Amino acid sequence: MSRVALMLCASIMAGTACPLGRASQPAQEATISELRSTLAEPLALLESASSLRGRFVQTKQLAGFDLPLISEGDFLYLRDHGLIWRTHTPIQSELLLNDDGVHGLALLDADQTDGNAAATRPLAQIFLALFSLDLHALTQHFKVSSVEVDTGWLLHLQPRDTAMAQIANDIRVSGGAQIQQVSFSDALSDQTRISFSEMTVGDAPPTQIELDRFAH
Amino acid sequence: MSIRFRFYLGLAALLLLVTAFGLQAKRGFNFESDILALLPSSGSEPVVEEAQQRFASSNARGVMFLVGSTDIALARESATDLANKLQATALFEQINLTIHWSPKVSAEFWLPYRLGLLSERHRQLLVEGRDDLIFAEARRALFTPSGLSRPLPLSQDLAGLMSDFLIGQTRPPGRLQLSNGMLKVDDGETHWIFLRARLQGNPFELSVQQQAAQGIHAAMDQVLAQQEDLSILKSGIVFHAQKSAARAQTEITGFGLMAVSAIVLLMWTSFASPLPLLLGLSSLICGGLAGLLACQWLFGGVHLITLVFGTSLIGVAIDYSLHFFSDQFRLPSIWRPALAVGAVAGAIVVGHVTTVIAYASLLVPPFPGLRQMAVFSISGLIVACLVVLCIFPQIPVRARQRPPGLYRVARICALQAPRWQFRLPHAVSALLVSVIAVGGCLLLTFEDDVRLLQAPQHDLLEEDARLRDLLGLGFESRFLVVHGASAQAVLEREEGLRETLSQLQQEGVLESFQAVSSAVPSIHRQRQVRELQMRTVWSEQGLIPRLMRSLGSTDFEILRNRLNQSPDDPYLSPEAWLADASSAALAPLWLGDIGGQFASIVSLSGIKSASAIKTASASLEGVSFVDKVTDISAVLKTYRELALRLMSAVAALVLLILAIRYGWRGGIACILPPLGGCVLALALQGWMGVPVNLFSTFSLLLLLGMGIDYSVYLREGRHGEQAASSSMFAISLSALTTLLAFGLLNFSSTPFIRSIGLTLAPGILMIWLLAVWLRPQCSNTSAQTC
Repeated sequence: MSRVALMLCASIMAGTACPLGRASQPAQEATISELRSTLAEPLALLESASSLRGRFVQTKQLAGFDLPLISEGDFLYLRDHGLIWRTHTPIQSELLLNDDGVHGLALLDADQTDGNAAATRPLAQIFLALFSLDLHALTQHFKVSSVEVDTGWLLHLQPRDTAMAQIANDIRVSGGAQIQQVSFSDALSDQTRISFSEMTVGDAPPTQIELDRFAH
Repeated sequence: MSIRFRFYLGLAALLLLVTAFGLQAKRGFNFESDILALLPSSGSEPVVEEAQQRFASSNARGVMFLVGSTDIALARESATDLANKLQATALFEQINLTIHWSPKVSAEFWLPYRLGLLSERHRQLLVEGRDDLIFAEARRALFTPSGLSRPLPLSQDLAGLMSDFLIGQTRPPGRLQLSNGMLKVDDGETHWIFLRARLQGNPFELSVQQQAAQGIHAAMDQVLAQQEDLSILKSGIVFHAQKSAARAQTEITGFGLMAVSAIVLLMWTSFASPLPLLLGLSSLICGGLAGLLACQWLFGGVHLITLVFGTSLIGVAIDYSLHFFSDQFRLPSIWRPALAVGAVAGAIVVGHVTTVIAYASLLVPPFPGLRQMAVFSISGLIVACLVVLCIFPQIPVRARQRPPGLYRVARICALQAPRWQFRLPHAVSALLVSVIAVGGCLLLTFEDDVRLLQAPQHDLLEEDARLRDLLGLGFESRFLVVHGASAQAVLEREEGLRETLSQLQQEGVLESFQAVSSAVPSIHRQRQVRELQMRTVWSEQGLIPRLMRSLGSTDFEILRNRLNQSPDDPYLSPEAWLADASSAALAPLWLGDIGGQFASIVSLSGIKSASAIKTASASLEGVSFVDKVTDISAVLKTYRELALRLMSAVAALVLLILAIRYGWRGGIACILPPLGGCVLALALQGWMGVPVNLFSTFSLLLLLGMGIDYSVYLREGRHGEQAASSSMFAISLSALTTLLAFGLLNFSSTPFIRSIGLTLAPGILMIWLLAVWLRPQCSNTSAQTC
């Protein structure tokens, strides 16, 4: 692929990743109370919720590749238990994300012992903080700035520490009454965008069947 | 040799001794406190010994801290504060708080070598042709969020090969995790920040450890004083070394002062004149100087534990003076020191020789610690004895006319105490003593544990354990030493060893191991991996093109260009790796060039069966399993058994010598008290339930050597009431001082010093009692001069 095509591709990507171009360079780091007012609506919704479920579409664009890589699936988030991320197409995979890291990565029994779970802990922390909108955790690991836009809000997260910078140089989260999209971009401009749909908030305690899925 | 000539010769020798001591003192004595210096070498090859020592001394410099608070920001701030304060002490060579590496950062260092590097798991899979697993992992990384946690962007490392290698290299140890550039571990509500430092000097040097302990405590106190919700845990060999040394110093001065004051009191009440007292003390001082000098010259330093034991020299060496001056009560009216020479010099020399032989038995086991104690005692005794025999006779000391109360007691004891006869009450008593002795010996238990050598510091050990638990790091004293003619040879041998260890790991023999070659493969291995990657990953049918095709992309060249490497590029060398920050965790394992040979350490954790590792590694060339604890225990056991055999041999020899002088009956009567004392001392430990170890068995040899004097003196002094009384007086004073000297050792904090005290103190008492009981009949012909 030519250099021009690459640049073109990257600019398209940037456009899609942040539909609101003017918000791409947010000015100020937001305080927790500012964030609380920006996110008042989703926070109120989550306050009484014990579970969150819905569908996702992940679009990954690798630098230098022409085709985006798209996958789809559903998720279940239980406060106190973690997040189950189930991909249906094009591969079948079920991951459990909790405080210890990402589980279900092993393809061989022997892999369990290789201890790489610790390396996935930061990723799990980000996902759990996003799903619970844990502002303390987010501001601890990231410089967070926020913008209010017509459709809702947009958060811009810049990692404070190397462990989080591992995941992405730049994370953008957007939503309205609920979180709608998260995008991660990397130094080499690999882009990963995850859009959520059919999100439902539940206030009933989790069923045994649901809990069993979290028993790792 | 005339008495006068001997005097001047002795004086000249003493002058020489004092001058030599002065010169040495000016250069400084090297006081050691490293417990390892007391231990025997494990008898392995010199390069392995050297490697072991370097690793141990490098480890000994490390100090670890955990700074904890429920407020993470406060913990971080305080840890920074502590690091700055420690830095300001200028005691540390290195202080690590902020972590400058992460897989992503260190990727820059590794990337130029990536074609020759693979994680062990990926290498195995590729070698075995099971790349379908790597293929599936790569697709999952692409289609799920899990790919986000890979250190390299997927477009740079589509198959995740380099990412897997990097994660393996930079994984923080134990439960530690990287958080905002520091390593931390969470425990419930508390966040602990990890701080590691490395001392500049040798922590076993007294000045270094003192400064370090003071500096560190001051820094910690200052940091703690500023905040409420804050705690600091520390761990390091220097704290143990400092406490042990301080304790040893307290014991040396405490025991020494007590022994000296007891002797001053005893000599004053016995001889009521300052001259014998001063002479006696000067013989002790000369003996002490000689002991110190001999150790410094022979061992290049004096261990503090030697000096703790050395305080017992005071009580033993004073015997010569006591014996010498006790002679005055034989003929108080005309006594002059010169007269004593004829009367007691023989007995003193016999006693001296047997004691020196007894101490010399401590030279037998290959324990530097015991040998130092023996050398200290022997040289001290020889000099003290020379002072008594050469100097004393020329000093105009006048006899005390009225014997002291103690002497009268001794006289009564010599003349009226029950003496063994073939009568019923004596036979019953003898039977009773035998029953007690045999019963106790049947109850004996044995212990050969390296812990005998160390005085445990419970508070420090608790803190160490707490810190290790929090960090999730096991403590393992066993490891493997790999050596070879070159750095590459060592790396290649390590790679062979790692295969064996992986096998053992799968069998559950050990949990994990760490080796430098997992970060820096040998050039041989890097070449193999390059070939493997070119064949299985980057070829037309390789992993990468297949992955690309599965994603619907055919532009394979773009990744190939990004790899930007050819099989002819330079290889990664240990030097390059050591120069980079990402080597921090494993670098201490690399010993490099040690005296022409190269060596490294492979550390182990979670060992379930040391013997399996030992067996498996024995067949590998240049690999040695180091298990100091087991080795030392084995040595302790061997020499404990040897000591008992040696004891029988020595007893037989002594009996032979005594039989020549006193006949068989006299010989047996002479040897029975010390032998009986030894058996009773052992029996006592049996009854008390105290396990017997190498140090107690070697103490028996000492006991035999010192105890034999009592029967010999009594037998030599059997001619006439006066002689019998002054002999009794001399051995009673001697028993008293020896009892005191070794009794004090029972209060030492070092277990093996206590073992020696526990054997010797009661043993001496028993020997004295038996010697009095079995003393020869005093002849009526009162020999005026002997």
